[in-house]
Amino acid sequence: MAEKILEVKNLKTYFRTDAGLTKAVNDVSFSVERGKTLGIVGESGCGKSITSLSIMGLVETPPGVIAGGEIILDGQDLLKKTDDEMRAIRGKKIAMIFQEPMTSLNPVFTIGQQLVEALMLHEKITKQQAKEKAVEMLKLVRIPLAEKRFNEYPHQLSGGMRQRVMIAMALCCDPELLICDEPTTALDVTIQAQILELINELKEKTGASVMMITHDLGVIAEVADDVMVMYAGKVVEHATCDQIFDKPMHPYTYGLMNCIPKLDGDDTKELSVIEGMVPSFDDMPKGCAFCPRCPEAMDICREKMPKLAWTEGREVRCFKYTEEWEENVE
Amino acid sequence: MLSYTVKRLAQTIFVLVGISLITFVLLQVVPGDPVALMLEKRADPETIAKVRAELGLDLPYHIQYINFLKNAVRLDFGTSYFTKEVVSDALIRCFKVTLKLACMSFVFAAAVGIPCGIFSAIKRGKGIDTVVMVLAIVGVSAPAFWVAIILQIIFGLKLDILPISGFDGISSYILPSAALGARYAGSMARITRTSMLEVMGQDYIRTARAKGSGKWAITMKHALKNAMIPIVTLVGTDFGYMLTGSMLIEKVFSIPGIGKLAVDAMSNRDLPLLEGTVMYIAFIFVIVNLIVDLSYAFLDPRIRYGKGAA
Amino acid sequence: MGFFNKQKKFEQEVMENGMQYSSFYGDSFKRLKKNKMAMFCSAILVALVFIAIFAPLIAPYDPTFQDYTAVLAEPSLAHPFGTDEYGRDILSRIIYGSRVSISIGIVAQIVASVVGVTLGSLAGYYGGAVDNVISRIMEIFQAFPDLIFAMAIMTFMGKGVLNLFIALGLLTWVRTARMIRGSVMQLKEKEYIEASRACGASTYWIIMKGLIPNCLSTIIVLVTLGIPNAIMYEASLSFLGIGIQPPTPSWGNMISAAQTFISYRPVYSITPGIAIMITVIAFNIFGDGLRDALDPKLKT
Repeated sequence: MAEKILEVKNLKTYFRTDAGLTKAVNDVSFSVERGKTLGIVGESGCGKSITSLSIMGLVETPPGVIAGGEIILDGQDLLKKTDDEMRAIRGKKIAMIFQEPMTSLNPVFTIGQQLVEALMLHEKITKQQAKEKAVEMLKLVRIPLAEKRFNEYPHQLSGGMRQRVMIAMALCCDPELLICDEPTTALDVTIQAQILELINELKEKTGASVMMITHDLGVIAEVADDVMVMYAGKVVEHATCDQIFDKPMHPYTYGLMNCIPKLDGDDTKELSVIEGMVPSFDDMPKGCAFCPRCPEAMDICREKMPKLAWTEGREVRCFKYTEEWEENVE
Repeated sequence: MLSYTVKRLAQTIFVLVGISLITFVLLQVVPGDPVALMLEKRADPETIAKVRAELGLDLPYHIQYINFLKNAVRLDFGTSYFTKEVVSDALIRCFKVTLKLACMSFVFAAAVGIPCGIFSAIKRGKGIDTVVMVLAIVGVSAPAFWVAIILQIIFGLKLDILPISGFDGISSYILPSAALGARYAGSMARITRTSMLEVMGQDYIRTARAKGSGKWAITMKHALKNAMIPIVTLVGTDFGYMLTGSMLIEKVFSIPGIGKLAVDAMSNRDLPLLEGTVMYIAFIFVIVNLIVDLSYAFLDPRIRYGKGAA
Repeated sequence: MGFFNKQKKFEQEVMENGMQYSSFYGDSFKRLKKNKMAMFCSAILVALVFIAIFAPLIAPYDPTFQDYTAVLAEPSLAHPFGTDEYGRDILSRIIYGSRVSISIGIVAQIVASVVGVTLGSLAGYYGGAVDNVISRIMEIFQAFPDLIFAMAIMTFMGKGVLNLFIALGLLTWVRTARMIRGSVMQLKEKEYIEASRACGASTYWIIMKGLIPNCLSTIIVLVTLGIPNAIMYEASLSFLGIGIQPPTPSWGNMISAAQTFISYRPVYSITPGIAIMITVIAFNIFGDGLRDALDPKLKT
């Protein structure tokens, strides 16, 4: 049984808005194993980003509030830590890279300065040593002419290179867990492939675990060992990558798979879509959140929220795989 | 950066020429005969015609304008009708005084306004934020000359600890600087707060937090350095306003600055002095704005270094 | 059961329950109403305009009536703010002064806005040489320090209310023109403008019906926030003796007159300034609230 780096139990993150209480993350549980990549996939607004921000302790409180649950890292609950303790963890034990490399680096400092800052925050080394390590990291992420780039400003680099710098900054203190929030969405397709390859390679080298958040199943196929599908703040399916692609069980996962146009498909058919839209948080249906859009919905789906249950070696949140289903079909 | 500088310089020269043209045109519109004004006594038409020819006022307009420009460039505006002092001497003498006043007011405004703005941005939404912002609005809305008078009444008359006129000696600097600076302290506080809030919402601040930076480092280092760029430009233009809009304060405190000189010139219809002060003050304003614009380009690495090779 | 049916049913329910589709201005007005400070200030402004219009009915005395038995009197029941150096009641003069300040502020700002909107939209729409010329003119006007410019105009052209309007109008039109130019340049790239052109709409029509209504909220905010500026300028010019001339009461020239008597009757200098301050603050806060209501994205 592989060792668990991170365990999230019943995480609830809510936001207080003018319209009421928004349950952005509504009872989510999962774990990340050492050296493995967990992919989290779902549409915009399903809560995947907020989940990662909650782990990092970067949720804005107000209006956000972590209403419950535990986040266990190294046997300690992160939610019980003080600000200072979390600051020591951020960047050192858990690191995060974000979606927009264009705006994620400070425009008035050189990349060298920003890398050195990351290093000096967590490691007890001299500035000179930090500079050397920073250049090493730039070389590690395959930035050509690293010494020259060290003194340049972010706007002098392309998007792909900036994302590499972000990766360098995240990995420079050897974190145990790297969270990537849609790191390739804002990049060209060819650069996307390079970045994903880089992340995989560095994962092997450093032994870190990775949480890859994306809405793109292609990315999942590339990098993920385990996959967690989220919808409207809840986990709806959690399986290995192979299992998901072989046989998606939750109707939503199935719908997502179908949306990918296939090379060998009949090219006279229309592209299939999942009808409808993600419900807004202040207008949640009473039963299963996916029910209004589900082609197989039954009465029971409208009444009650299904529980996350083990079926065929994975977790699924759907009445289809419970005993109650047979009763309803009759 | 270089091309920007050249463009800006060219624009400055163009604007200065435009200003001189407007001033010259306005001068021609003055009701009444300038020569008759100058000669005070009721002179006969021959004397008037003679003086007119001497002054070159009978030449065609475009030649007059060229002469005007030529003289303006050498700061030669003639002699005051009223005080008989050479205009350029008066300009330089009075400008030194106003410069002193403007610098002190600026230091006051920046030392009060900017920290208040930063503080307000950090404590956004809390009670102290509202208090500071209300004070800022009051500072901006109260007429500067009225604030000056209130200060005179409180500190000069009732408490009798500070002089209410003149401008020589440290104690006489305090009230005028506070009066002129108060209004700008308010606007600087608001600008600082807005700029800081905008910067604090940026992605790179989130990255800094994800790296594990502390609150102090994030505010004072990451945020402030970015926020300062627009703040410096706006604050720099405020300095320009202080230099060129000091006439109200100078009137209240009887300070012999260039603003008061301009007002006197206007009340007395003292045309040479009037030309001189208007051109000079406009020139100062344009130069200050030029320096501010160039410093903006210098401070922002995106403009200073331009696009490098990807 | 296909999904489209479900969607249609949802829409039907919405129509039946009469869900409110609110308009842009309806939404904005709702947001404005929530802003208590702005609503309070709008009440103050309404009161000020009321006072200005009905000054003869409200003021206890004729502002030009000189009572030589009560020169520079202390505030009392008979004269709540005291009297000035000619024995005129200060409260009445302040009330009449509101007419001057508020009307000048509003008219000057409207003039400046008309000029600004016209030139700004022409510059933004036509671009090219027209834009070049207008932009250069704007630069020159902006390069003039404000008060000096107004003073120069008043001196060169002579004192008088009309010249005051011209001076104030010339001071403030540039800011409006700049913003409108920017908005028009953005808007004219939008598809509906191309569509109008494709339908053969004239330039006048496109500018008046297509572009300006979309700038309307910007214009409203600029005018509202520009009025206190104009009022301040008028007060400053009157204080210097170049604006409104006595005996017409203007808050600015009252403070100027009060200066001479500052040690004997300080309250004379204080009261007109408070009037200015209240008016300007009310306009500023209301203007800020208006801007937040019309475009919440700009809110800090």
